[in-house]
Amino acid sequence: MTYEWRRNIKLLLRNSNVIAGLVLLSFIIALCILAFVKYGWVLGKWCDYTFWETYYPRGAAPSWISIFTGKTYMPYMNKYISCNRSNICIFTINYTYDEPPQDIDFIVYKTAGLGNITLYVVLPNGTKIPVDNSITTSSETSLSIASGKYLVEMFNMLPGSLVTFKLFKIGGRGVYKFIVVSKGVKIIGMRVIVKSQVFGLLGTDIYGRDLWAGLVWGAPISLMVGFVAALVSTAIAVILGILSGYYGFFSRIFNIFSLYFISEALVWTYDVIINFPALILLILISIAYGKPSPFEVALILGLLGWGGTARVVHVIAQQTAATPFVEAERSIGVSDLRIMFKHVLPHAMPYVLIRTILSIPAAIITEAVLSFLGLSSPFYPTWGRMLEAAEPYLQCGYWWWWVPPGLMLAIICLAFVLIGRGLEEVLNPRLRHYR
Amino acid sequence: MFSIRYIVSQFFKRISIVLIILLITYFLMYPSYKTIVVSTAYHAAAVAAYVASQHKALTATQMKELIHNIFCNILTYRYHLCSPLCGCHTPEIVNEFNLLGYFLISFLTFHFPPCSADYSSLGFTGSNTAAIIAQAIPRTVLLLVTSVIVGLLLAIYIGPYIANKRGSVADNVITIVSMITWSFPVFYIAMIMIYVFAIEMKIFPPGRMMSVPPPSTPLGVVLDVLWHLALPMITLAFMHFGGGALVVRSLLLDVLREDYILTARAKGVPERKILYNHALRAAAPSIVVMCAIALAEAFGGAIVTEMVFNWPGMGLLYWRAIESMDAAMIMAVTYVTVLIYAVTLFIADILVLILDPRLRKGLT
Repeated sequence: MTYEWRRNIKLLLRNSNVIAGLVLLSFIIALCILAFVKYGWVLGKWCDYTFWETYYPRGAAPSWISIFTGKTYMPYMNKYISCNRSNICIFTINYTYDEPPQDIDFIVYKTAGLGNITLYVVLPNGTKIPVDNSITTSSETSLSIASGKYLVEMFNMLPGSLVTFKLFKIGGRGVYKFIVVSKGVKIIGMRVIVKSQVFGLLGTDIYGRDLWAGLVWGAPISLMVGFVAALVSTAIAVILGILSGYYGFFSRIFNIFSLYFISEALVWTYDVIINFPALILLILISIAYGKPSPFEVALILGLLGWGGTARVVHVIAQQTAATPFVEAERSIGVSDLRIMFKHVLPHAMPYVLIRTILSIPAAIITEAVLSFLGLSSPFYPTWGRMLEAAEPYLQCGYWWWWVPPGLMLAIICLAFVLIGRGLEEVLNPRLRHYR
Repeated sequence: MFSIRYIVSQFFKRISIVLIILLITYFLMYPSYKTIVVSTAYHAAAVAAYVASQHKALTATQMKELIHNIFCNILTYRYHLCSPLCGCHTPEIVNEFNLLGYFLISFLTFHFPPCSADYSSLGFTGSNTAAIIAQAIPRTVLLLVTSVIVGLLLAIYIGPYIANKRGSVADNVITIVSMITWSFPVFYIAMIMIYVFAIEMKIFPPGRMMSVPPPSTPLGVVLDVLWHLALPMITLAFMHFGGGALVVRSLLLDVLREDYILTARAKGVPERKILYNHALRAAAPSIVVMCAIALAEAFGGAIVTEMVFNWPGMGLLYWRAIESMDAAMIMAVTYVTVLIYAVTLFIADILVLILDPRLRKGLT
């Protein structure tokens, strides 16, 4: 057995399908590592819309888009400025870009008491314009350009990013000074958030969520769904299939009717569950009990998907039980359990392995479909969920929102399909001789 | 003799899928153990009563009383269902002796109660679950069944050809295309197609079955529906072609190594005849099973395809029912979908029996 497996692994590593699959899979695994190492904080925050709206631009394109448009965009910035409890706080930027930001937000942290805080902007030509004003007792207050009340009034526009665009168009290129002045209280510090038109590797969606972080988190979740579903279904299938095949054979030979009846009933169950419509059941469960998390979806898929493998294992166990060496082992009194582990399981293993690998993409796609219908838990950034959120905005041109998740789903499925096909070519003797 | 046993066992296997889903549906929609007891016992007793009446063990009046005593109070009290058994209304056709009609009508009212949500925005008229589903099925058949058939016929035509020319450029191209369609989710391909052809190029409409307002002439209506049908049908046919071509190819690869193919070649049978008469005939049972599963799963997965293309069939009906939590419609659509699913698989079982002489003779 060891020699054969060593040879098989050698053959596998020479197979072009397997190599392509492993390359794609290593990319997915790299994303998993990145998710846990760098983007661990995203998982709890994915549905916290106020957080994303406060700190990130909405509907920002990927930053590498400047290569294609040929324009330079003002970069995203999130910076804390200490003001040392003074009445005035200044933020200066050198604006030398083609495209202005959507908005610049100032979150001002102040001392206790009622304060009147005003934001002014000094344009490169020296004119000082009042932008926004806030009268509050709370310890932090937010001022912004896009919804600045004086600016909106002056331009006679609705609040929105067009206000910022107009301000930067009037001002032109040069050094802008943003001055925050407080009356009655002192300013401890302020956080300046430049909400650019471009953001990060993949931009943001209209809720301001970082799509790269979501895409990265989709990898471990999808892998988990695939592996849990495949392992649960394989475990059930192998145990039931070996038992029903082995005892089915001997009970038929020795006329043990009760055992034979149980084994036939099990085979009947395989045939029923082999084509069970899992998606419909998942939809019903999600309606009745609330939206399941990816792990629950994977468990349900695993509990439903063992029919085909169990049938294959059953047939192989039956064939193995009929061989002379099993008869010989039984004649010297080897226990049934030992025969099952030593002889039946290794015979079934190649087929089980192929079916397990090929059932992973099926489970991932089913989970994605359930997510795309909006019937899985919204708290996990899965690729299906991202596509579901982007689908109503298909006409609005946010291609960076819905193109990458689908590609990732395709890549992860292609990886396992390729590995499965390679395994089939190596382990299936008929295909191997043909090659 | 053996084949009759096979048919009966396959029938019960397929029907048990429907019963399991039905039980789960009732259990999930009305989470009470009574419901399961009621729904199973209702079927059992109705069938048993009908059988008993055929053997004249009970008179019609006795049986009515029996069914009434067991079920009607529970049905009317718990579900507010208006059943002919419970005296809400007595149709003309249900007389004392027409027990089959009696059974059928009570069956229909049990499974298709009136729905609570409004489906007029999808173009359905009436508030009766059965009537709405009867309007929805032809639309789904028009889109899904046609596209599956087109895609799979193409796959069955091209699959043998590429299996024969293994390793050629055509084989490699079609295998790569198949792998891609195999791994991309269908709704994603649909989104790409809508974005490219409907939103950017504006060749096809992005959704719906008819334009608003609909054209006045009958020919105009037909052309309008065909224009709306084109994009979803091309997409789904392409997806099914990809998956099918791969399966047909691998099945034919096995068959083409058999000795009788070599014999046929030695006799000088034209290559075309070898492929489509000898090889395809031998692979026919497996191909039929593949087609049936594709068809059944297309019906089961109609909800996602129809949602993307905004096609008002069974899937969108199901989706709207889920959105408005219309329990009656959810149950009815689930029931019909799973029934169609099981019936398709059962028809495939019978077709396999006809096509596979080994199974017909009871050899396997």
